[in-house]
Amino acid sequence: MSLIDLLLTAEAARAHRAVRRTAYRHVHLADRPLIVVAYNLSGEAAAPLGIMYGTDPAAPKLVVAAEPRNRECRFDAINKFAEDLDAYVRPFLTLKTEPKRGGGFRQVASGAPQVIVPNRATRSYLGSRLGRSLRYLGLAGTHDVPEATKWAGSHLSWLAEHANLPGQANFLAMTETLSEHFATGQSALEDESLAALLAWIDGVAGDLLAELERVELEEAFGPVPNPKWEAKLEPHVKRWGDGLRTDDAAKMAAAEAAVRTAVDAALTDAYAATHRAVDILRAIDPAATVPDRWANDVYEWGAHAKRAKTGIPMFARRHDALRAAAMLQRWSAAADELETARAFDDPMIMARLDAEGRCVTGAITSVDAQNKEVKPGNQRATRVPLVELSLTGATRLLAGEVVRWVGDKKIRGVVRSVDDGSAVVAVTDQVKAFDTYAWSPGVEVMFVGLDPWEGPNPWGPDEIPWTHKEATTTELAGEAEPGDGATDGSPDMTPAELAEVVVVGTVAPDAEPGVVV
Amino acid sequence: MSHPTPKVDFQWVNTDYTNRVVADLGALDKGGAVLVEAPPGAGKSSLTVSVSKALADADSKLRLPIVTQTNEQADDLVASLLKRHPDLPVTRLVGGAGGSNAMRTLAAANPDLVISSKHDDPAVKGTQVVVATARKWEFVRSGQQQSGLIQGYDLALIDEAYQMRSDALLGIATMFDRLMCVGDPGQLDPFTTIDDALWKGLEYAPSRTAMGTLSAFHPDLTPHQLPLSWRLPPSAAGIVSRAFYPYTGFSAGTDATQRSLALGAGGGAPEDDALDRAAAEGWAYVELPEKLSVRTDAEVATQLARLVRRLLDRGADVVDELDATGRKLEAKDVAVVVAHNDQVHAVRFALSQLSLDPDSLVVSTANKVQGREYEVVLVWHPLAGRRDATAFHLEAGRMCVMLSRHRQACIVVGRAGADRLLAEFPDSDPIFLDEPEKFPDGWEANSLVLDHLAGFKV
Repeated sequence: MSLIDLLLTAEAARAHRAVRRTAYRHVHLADRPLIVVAYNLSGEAAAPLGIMYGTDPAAPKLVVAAEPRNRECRFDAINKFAEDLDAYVRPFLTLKTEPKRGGGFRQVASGAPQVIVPNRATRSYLGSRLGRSLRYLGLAGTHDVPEATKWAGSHLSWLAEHANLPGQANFLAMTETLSEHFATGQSALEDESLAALLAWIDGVAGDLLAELERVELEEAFGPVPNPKWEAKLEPHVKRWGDGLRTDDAAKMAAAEAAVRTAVDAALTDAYAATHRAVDILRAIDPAATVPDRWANDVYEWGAHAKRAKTGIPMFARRHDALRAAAMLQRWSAAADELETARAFDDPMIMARLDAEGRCVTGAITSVDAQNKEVKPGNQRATRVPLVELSLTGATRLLAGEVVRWVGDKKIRGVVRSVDDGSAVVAVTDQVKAFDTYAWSPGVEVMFVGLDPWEGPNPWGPDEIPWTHKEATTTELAGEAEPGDGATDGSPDMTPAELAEVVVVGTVAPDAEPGVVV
Repeated sequence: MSHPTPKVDFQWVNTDYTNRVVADLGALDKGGAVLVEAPPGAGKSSLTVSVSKALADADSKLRLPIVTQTNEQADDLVASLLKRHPDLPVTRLVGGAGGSNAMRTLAAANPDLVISSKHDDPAVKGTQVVVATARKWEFVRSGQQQSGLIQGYDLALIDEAYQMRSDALLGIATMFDRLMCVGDPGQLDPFTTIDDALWKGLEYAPSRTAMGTLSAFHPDLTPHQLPLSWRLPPSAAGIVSRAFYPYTGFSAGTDATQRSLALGAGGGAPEDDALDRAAAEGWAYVELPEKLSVRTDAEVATQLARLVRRLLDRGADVVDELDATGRKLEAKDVAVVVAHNDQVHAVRFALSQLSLDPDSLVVSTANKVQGREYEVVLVWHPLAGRRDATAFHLEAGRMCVMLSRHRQACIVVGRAGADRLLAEFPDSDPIFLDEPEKFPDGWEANSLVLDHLAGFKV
């Protein structure tokens, strides 16, 4: 935790009120995101007691399964939710054709869905558990479900995987996003309760601490319900089962009504709170690079939409070696880019880096704009302006580290020397841009030690090398396409489908990434 | 470790292992590998150099790719290749930014050294050994794939293979039919900041070590073990071997009479006890009073700086098997090794407060001093002043790197209470199915080290 984070936490704890951590909002918010809150029967993987969802704060829909361990009952609820989810997502599957840089045309999505849930646990429940449990249904003799349910499984699976991309906004968990924007006086673990987080941010009428205690005992925003609340539910669930066994429809209906009332009351709070969280974030101005990241989200969604043209997009049971490596590289690169983008967008985040010692900050004492040096790999000397600073704060950057000027990210340099009071930065890139700014003695400047890779990435290998598969199955592996799952009996992608998967981040250096028509 | 000859020397061991490795490589099928595991300072680089030379001598048409993990490692390897075999035609294949200053200086002295960023450059094709980072080789493979023409190599050498991540090996292995992998399994594992739970338990998980993946798919590979450390003195080989290499083990290649650190006149200064003990016994443990502190604990930093200052003020004569007449200890023979970047800054600040130029010695994190050696090393104990013992602070590889950089003596500065912290702190890391146990266990290794250090408390 940086010094500034500690300070903000202390400030929030003293004031009993959350304080802002950033100057801007760093995620995109769609005009009408789909808000989803859910309760799952505890101890079960994907057995929802109830799911409440909608785009309108005033008019949520609620599906309830009085006995989610009963398959008919469970799918009655899931199918209804799936149909509505599919209906929300379907318009975004429309592709539009646009000219491709360098000639030709390509198809891209015109928009992308945004699903917002109260907390990280609900996100992983909805995506990795519920979505995963639906996506193979009907295959290989498994329980068949309506088409819309299979579609929903596919969409949720896409969202679940995409949620790993740092900076994405297709599948947001409000506790995570709010904690990025606000500091409270409680621990990160406690911040995972959306009700508590909102109490810190919105304030409460009486004593905050008493309210937090009440929230902890009484409110849980899913997917695992509060145990006390679930205990109250238990007799009704049991009654529903009794009704089923004795063929007593009236008993079942009564039991279901009781469960519905309880679930409705609990989920209504969670649904309202999630909308409230969105409103809080909406009131903050978006940062400069937010549209770029959303454009990337839409672009990546386009790959799913393209696959959807020929049927329900399938997902491999597990990543194979190639895809796993490509994803790790993609997500790591995105994490670096996001850190840089946020820092340059937001002075509060840049200040945090400065407090961590990751900047050289100070007043210019001298500038040698005409300094010439032979750069590595060059034959002739080129201009490398030297900027000497008298430091106004401590830095932990050392000589040799690459920095960028906070005023213009393109201007890149190297810390030439640094001691307690002064530092020299040699400007190595964009010297022409450097010349357009005034670098006069006395001016306060700041260089930050961020340097994400901006060049093209290498293509991923086109086959799994011998190091990453069993030696004895060389011939077998030669026939079976990676990850087609033909040998383990699992429903999975066909080689042709696999070939269709667009692995973003491994495109040719000059080619424009995209789905080529 | 017993050895056939009573009097072993470095050259003998190196030649012996070179012959064994070259013979194994000759017998290797396509899709096979020879692994060599080496404890700290066991002559890994020398073995890589002499194996390269032997292969090049055996086949004048050979082009041997060598894969390193960092540009610094590649530069070091090229320098040792040329130092031992100035006639060997070598290329240092670099990225778009060009070769480092070190390489340019080396090229000035060795006009035949080719420094190029283009793999298909005729000058590169004229050399027998091509050294580049894994990342650079990945670009080479990617470029060839784009032009539809993969020019594979029969054999490649991977240096520091235990620091390589599985996805890095995946990125280059389609180019190479056979591999020789050399590395130190006791050092820090490669890591990622991305949550890798999605791939836990998979043999090919990209965040695993490359050697972990390779041995999972090829369980019949049995590594050669280099048996002796030429860096660590006998005083250190025992504990480092016991704590971090419990199954394979190793011993010191030198005996206690060959090394000595004779300090200049002392007495009176509070640091002298620790320095005298370290000089005489190879270890000293300076334990500050128990206290919970911030990560950049100024008292620990100051203690480290005072020890450095006093050591350099007193001066010392360094005698070892390479130089029996002795030489003066210089600031660059001293390193301070810490766990976190901000601790580097704290120590540098403390040094400059004592009017010492922080650039005159090495102050760095464990991650950055892997593969380096110094005469005297001062260590900031990772558990000093903490109230939790996370996987990061308990990682066996980190402690192993810290305690195995020195040729003469190691001084550890910590705070009391670390033993209690170890005993009381519960492990709360999640457990994943099919995920192999990390070995050696960090908790156990740290306990052994603390026990050992307790015997050298001043």
